[in-house]
Amino acid sequence: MSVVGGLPNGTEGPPTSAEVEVEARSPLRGMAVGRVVGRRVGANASLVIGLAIIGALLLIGALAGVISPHDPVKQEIGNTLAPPGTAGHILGTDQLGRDTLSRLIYGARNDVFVALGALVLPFVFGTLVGIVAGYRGGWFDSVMVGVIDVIIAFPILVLLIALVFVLGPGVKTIIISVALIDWVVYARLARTAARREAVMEYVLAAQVGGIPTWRILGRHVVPNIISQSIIYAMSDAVLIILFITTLGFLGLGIPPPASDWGTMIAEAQPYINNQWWLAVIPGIAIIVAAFGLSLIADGLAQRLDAR
Amino acid sequence: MAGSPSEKRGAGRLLAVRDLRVGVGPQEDGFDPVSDASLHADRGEVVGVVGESGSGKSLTLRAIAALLPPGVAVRSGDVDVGDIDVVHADRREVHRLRGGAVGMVFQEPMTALNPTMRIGPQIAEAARAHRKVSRVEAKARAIELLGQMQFTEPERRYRLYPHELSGGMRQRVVIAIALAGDPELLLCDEPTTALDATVTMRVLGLITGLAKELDIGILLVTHDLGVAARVCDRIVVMYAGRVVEEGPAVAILRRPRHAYTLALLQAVPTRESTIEALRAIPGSPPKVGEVPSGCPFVPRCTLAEPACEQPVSLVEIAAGRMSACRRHELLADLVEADDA
Repeated sequence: MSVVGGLPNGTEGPPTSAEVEVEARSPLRGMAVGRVVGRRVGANASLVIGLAIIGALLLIGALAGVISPHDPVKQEIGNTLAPPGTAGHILGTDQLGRDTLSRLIYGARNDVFVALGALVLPFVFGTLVGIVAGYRGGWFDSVMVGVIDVIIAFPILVLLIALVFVLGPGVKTIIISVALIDWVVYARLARTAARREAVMEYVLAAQVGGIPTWRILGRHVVPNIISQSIIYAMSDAVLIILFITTLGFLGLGIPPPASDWGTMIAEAQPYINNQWWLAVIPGIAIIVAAFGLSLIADGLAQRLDAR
Repeated sequence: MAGSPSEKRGAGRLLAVRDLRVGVGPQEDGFDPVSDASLHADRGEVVGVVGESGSGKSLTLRAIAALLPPGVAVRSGDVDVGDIDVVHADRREVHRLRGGAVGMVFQEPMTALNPTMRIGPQIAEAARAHRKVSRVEAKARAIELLGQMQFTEPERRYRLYPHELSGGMRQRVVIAIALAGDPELLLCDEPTTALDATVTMRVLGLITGLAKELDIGILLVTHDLGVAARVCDRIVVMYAGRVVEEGPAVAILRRPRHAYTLALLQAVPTRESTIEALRAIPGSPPKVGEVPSGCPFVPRCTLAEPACEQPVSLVEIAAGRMSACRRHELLADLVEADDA
């Protein structure tokens, strides 16, 4: 840590005049101020960069209609497989002459939005079930542990693909199948944590204090165990994005002609030798999204566990 | 000890525990970490429960608050707190008991407070659990309690998080939470074990002051005879899940009438004692489930005689003094000879 940054670090509250002077003279003033602000909200580099990446992707997805240069499904038969850098098509066109950049932008809408949307149901339901099971114990816990173990015994991806295959492709299907399977992971996480928390003395104290159970769960148990579920949810979003793109690759994803990154990679397969960029560009998009979510997970882990 | 139900209930006692047996596991092949524990407490009185770890003192305390861990249950005996029959209480009575009739202070102030909540709301929450008071009134009550717990600037402290407080301060917050429901009986489970020696006395002083000031009964579980000596009016000695001796604190500590109590006292270093005079108690307490049928202390006792192998019960040996030791007369002579 630099001397300049090190000086005002330990103190909370308004800086003394000496500190203000040091900051005012410092060539790194902007950075130092940023660091102080960052400490106040508990931000760290991983969290900021991750949020920036995902925020940008969400913004791109939300504004897809405005910012994409072309209609993502419009075909230009005379201009197929154009390389990146072609006039009017910065990232080139695919085998049907559709603009790659536009498809990538609409893909962000489909993949990132659907992934985060699919996350909500299993997160809420699984956490709820897990907390009640772990805190209450008894027959409810035994039944839930049985159900969870049975579902977890199968490879999740295989189970999900089977479900989507049965229910038929589509955004709704993806959300339903993820909800049906993925809740067990959250339930197991929350159950273990709630069991650990249920014997903590402050929970006992609340029980001796005659505080109603729903309130003990809401104010004493949930706030103390939710952080790891949130952190896991971010990693889980990566898995769901990969799942959606895998479905796209298998032809079970978001139905064409809507674009998604997995479908783009699948369609690029025959051209991998000569027009490699067709597969690589959506591949990079997937990596960037996954990287951003992983950074958020990492940053949140640092932030929330330092209590 | 027996009597008609009407005589047993209440009888003016704040707390009466009679022949309490607490068991773990199924009735047939489980074991009983607490057996035949009897003790009582009145208003304005500090009763110390002392014993080694595993002597059943904490479980006895938890049984009084109807807060036994899962798989542990009261097998037989009675616990009465005021007019509440704790052992047979239904949900409504348990609710009346917890936070209403009894408050509890825990051993570890690090974990007895919710790290994600400010301390003030934690106290206010406890204050609202039993009386229909508004948020504003509950907050005022919490601030008042913080003041009673000798916090300077209670309004400002209200907004602090547990991690911003020292161990002694946290323990005072825990006491404030325990008192928020105006209990008649305060159960303290090793309240100073986790504290520095310097703050121990302050917390103890606060607790005993409360007994007189608020006229409530206090049951103080501790393994520290020094703590018991300083603050307790009466002392109950537990060993292997049984009450083995009971009486006024000064009498117990000066003239123990149970071989175990004497052994405990001889193991405590004092200013006068030399290293040579300190005596460790040989052996270790019986494992749960392997407690001998006679006096449980026999295997480690230097005074045991063959008759001690026979079952023995707690009997009154003098006014206000109970002992479960066959050799209590010998002990009386020994201690007197020592004094002379």
